[in-house]
Amino acid sequence: MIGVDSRFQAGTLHVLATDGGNHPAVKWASVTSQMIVKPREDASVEARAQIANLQLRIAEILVGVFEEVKASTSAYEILVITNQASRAIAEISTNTQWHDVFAAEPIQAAIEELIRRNLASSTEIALRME
Amino acid sequence: MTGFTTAFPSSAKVELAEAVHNYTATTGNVFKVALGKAAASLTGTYGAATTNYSNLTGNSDEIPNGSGYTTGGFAWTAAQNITPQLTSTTAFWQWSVNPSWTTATFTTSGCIIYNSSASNQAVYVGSFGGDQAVSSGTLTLVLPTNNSSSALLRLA
Repeated sequence: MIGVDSRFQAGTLHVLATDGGNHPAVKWASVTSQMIVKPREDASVEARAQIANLQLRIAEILVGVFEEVKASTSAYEILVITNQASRAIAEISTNTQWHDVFAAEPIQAAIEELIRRNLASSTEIALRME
Repeated sequence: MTGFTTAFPSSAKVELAEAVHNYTATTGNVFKVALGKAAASLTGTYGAATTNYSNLTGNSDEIPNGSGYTTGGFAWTAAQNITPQLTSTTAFWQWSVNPSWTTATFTTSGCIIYNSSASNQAVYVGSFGGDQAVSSGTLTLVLPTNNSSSALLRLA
């Protein structure tokens, strides 16, 4: 009889808390970039430094994106902005060892879903507070 | 020791086999996420042995009404379920919206996600790694990337 390694797994929720109003764009950008690329627990110091640099570059792109989305009101606009952001992130990985990972279709889809969800959350909050 | 430990409730494993939970987008069940009090105020323990939202309320461990929180918690619509997907041999699923509370003033240390369409049975328990406080502001639970290695609920 062949053993089967089956496991139920529970993921991790990240809590974003901001006193006195809505989350600023820089906070959304930071948490999103850390979710897009994160080091493995056994990553070397050098790899961690490279990943931290990539996270910063991704966050720079996303700050602009999250600022832009505050002014948008339609799902279509968010879709367009999401596509632009994911393309920009793929471009900055071109000369890195992670290019093949970023170029993979399932990863692209997961990144787009993540950015879209966080963009939508920030927009919903902004609209709710008006 | 009281508090939250992130877990896939054991009862939910049995209930999957019994077809209690339906995570299909639009046609599936309605799920909610309720927040627990600050760690020092908890009287119960929540993790793999948690079976139902009533575990939280029975211990009076849910954040009370007011100050930006309504008991029962944030409700996803069925349309916000992401239909379970498969990558290789791992199934994974979660929701398409990050739960959020605005004009909020409270401290929370964990949460229970439960199926309000199925007698409030628990489907996820989450620890926030310590107290998370917000004052006249916004608290958002940012769901992980929805893939086979990070999604909130996975079966490998």
